[in-house]
Amino acid sequence: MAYIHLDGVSKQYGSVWAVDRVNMAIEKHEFVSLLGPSGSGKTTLLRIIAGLERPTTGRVLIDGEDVTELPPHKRGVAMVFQEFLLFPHRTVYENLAFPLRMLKLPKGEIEARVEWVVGILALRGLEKRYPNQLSGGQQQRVALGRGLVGRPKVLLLDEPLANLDRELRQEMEVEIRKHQTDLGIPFIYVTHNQEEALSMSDRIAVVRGGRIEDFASRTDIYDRPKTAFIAQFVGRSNRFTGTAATAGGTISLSGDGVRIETATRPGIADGERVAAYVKNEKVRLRPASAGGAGAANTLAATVRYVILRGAYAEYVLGWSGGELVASRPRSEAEFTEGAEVVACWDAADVDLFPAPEDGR
Amino acid sequence: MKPRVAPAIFLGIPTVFLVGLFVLPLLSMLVLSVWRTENYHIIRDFSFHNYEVLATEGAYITFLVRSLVMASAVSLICTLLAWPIAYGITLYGGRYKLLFSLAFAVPFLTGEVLRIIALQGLLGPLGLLNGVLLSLGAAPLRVIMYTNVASAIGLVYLYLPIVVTVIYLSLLNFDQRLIDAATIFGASPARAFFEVTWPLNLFGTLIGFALCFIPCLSATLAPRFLGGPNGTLYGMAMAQQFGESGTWALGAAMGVVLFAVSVLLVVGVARLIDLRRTGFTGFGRG
Amino acid sequence: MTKSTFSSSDAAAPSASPVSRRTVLKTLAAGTAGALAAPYIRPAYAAPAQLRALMWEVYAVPDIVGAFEEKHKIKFSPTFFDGNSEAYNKLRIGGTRDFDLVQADGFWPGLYFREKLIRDIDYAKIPNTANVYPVFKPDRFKLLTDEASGKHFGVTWCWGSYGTTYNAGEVPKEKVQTIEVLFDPAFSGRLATSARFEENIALTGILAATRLGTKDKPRPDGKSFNPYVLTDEELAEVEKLLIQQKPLLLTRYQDNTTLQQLLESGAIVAAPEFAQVYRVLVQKKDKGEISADFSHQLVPKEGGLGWVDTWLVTTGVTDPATLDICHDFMNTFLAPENIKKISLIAGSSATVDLRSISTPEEQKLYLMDRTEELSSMYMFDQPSSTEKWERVWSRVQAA
Repeated sequence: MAYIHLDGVSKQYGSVWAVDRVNMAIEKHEFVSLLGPSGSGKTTLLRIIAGLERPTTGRVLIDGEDVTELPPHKRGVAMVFQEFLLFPHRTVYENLAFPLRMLKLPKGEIEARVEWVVGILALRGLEKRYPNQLSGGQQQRVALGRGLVGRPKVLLLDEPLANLDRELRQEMEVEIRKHQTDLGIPFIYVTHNQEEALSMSDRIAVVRGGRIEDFASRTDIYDRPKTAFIAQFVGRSNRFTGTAATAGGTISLSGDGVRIETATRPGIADGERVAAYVKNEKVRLRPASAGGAGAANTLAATVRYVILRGAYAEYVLGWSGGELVASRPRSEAEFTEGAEVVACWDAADVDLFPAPEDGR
Repeated sequence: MKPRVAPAIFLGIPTVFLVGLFVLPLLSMLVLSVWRTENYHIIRDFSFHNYEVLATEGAYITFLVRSLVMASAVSLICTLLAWPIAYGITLYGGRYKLLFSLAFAVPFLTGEVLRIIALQGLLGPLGLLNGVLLSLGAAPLRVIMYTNVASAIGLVYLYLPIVVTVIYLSLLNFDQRLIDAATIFGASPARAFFEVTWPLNLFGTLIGFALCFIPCLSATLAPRFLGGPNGTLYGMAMAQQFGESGTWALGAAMGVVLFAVSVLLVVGVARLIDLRRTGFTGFGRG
Repeated sequence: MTKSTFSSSDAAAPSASPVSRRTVLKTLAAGTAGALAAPYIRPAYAAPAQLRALMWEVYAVPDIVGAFEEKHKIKFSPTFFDGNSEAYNKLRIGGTRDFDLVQADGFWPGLYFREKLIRDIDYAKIPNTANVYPVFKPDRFKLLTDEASGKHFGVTWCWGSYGTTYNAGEVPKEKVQTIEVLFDPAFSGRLATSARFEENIALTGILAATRLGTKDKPRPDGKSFNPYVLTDEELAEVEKLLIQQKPLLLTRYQDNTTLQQLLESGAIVAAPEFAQVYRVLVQKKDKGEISADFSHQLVPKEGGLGWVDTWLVTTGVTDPATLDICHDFMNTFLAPENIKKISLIAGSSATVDLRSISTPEEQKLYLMDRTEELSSMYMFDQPSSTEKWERVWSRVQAA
């Protein structure tokens, strides 16, 4: 049996189901992200695990024990909050010692554990400061330290990096993942930022409208999205819509001067409205002079803008059907704005889903 | 260079206000307290005689002790009552929160005299309480008729709204999610209250306490109308000096002593309390 | 906190009855502020078409004032005060220029005259003064005549006592005939006195002097006994008596409404007062609203306290025309039909003989046959030393 088990958990607010029949099994050494747009119910789900919300139906099990009816302080979980929520009237040391005092550990043990956490989070010298005397990054590390110091059964993180700037965020991502690996306890990480989820998680649960859209390894979520929503939400993709035509093991859609072809897949019937997604980095470019613009999964385009993103260059292309973005390593041949190019991709890189009625 | 008018106005008006309404009257009290009166006339002879009287005459010390005990008891009762009331409003007030907090301000719209007289009616021999008791055939409740208990009830009634409002505002500024944080890290609800809610609202609670304590210390109306023969408090005795007996100089000395006692108490409490430990962040990030 | 003291003593004033004496003295704040502000406040210089009076509100009866205004084509503009000391303070900070007429009682007219705040007046120009009971004529009523010059400076119009109103069903008549009734343990918890320190001390002073036997002995000042001039020995006895009295008192009432409720409800059975509550209770009894029978002991056998309200003319009145109008105003006020109207409204006894135009009930209720008893009363006066009296009062309250 999995270490953490959510069994048909639902939460109703008025007539709205904020969490809708969620089943999840999380292993002891896993780093799991709950990824979804704001209002998707991911934070509510986290608070249900923490015990801060009571599920309307369903059960929560941690380490084999049904904790559904247990108040938060008896669950042995810890949490890192988006707003840090450090105790403003307590020093860094006292904030870190708080969970240990609640556990009624002996003084020496408390000192040793705080010392350990001060060490691993590089908080030395800040012990006597008050939270409002710390920088955002320092506060974040204290919040993380307070989460780790009590060696909880699970650490819940509610968008902990949302208030930090980009550089600091990437540093912290590495640090958080490292501590999770070292401690060997599950981290459940709520975020709306796919990069955070992808950078740290073993598995990602994509949450939408209170339901788990898919719960799979990060590579599956990224490379083999199970729904149009995931294809859209995870990674950056180009989207094409059209009518499916199946013939001899391939399925194709045409329109606006491009024909997209890929292997047939179950669930898509001939003549159905479909949407195809091609990730930005799967789009390859070659000069127009190289020819071949008429083939399947190929289109002729003009470079409109070039956006440099470090090791990558992002090409915003204009073509007869609108705009297309290609993300290419800088190591490849570069194109300048205004250049005529041919964009193409592999049939295997096309994700195809029935298109919702609204045409999205 | 053009003189900057705005700062002068913004700082000047409160300064004039403070000097005019606080410093000047206080100074005039100080001056008056070292003079003396003789049958409704002020004699401008400098001496500390009034202070000697206050220090040696047991009656005035009795009044002060009575007032200190009364103010402490009333402030404590007010605080104990105000906490659950204010907390209840923040927790369950919902969208009527504002309405509730405004409702608490309503008694301020009527005068203090009116409220005390209303209460006198309530507690008096023909009042609601005793009226009901009498109609049930019971004897009137003597303990609430012209006693210190009646004074205390009156003072609680007068100052509870202030204390509730101050504690309510404090709770409104308090981030309730800190309680979530405390419980997540193993604190029971009661423990979370004493670890987080209480210390972080201690400053507000003390302000509420002080805003009740200090006027109670100088209360004149409640003891006068409700207190009975043994209910004379310091403030009431002081008012008599300025009123009936015309012994203004002694009254001024009583006022100066009261002011000094109040300041000492506030300073004493302020020194006992580490503001930092109440989450007070007005120190900047220093 | 000092401010609250001032405001509360001010605020308490409206609750006191308008006829009560020296209810709340004007506060230091007002005095100081007034003294500071006085030079800057434009005095209301006497416009010839105006008569300005500083008075208790209840006596400003509109139709009497209206008729007077009509007669003289003049505007009567009253300013109201709650206690003598308030009026005193107003006059001292330049009010003699702002007011033509002023009301006062007890010893205050004498004090005003000594301080040159009021001027002498001519009784000959106030013919209605001839109608006052003999006891209020200058030969017997000395408070409105300057001892040295023999000049008169005030006109009386109403009087009262500080007798004991009691529940006749609970208190036997013979017990009320003495001040001792207010110190009788038999009525423990069912007595009340007024909150006024002067009358508490003065009334107890009569009892103390009686008990000590000093009342009719030669006095240190060579004058006859005055409960407002007590020896230290008598004051000590007063203090002792008042402390003994405390456990017997339910309260010291602040206003007539409270006293009325206390008596009506049976919470107390006897209290000294100005007979105003007594009149209210008798009228209620007549209407059948209450069943208890209340009586009033005007003067206890040891002696009682009394007071007389007066009209005075300020020293600001110098021109003969204005003085004439002042004289005529006081005369109009004393006209029997007018003073009766005022008496009934204010609930006080007139100094003018109104028996011919009053019903027997009115005569009884307004003590019209008992005016002579005033001569046996000690007039409200200024304590010989407010400082000493204040000390006694504080000790009693703290005990």
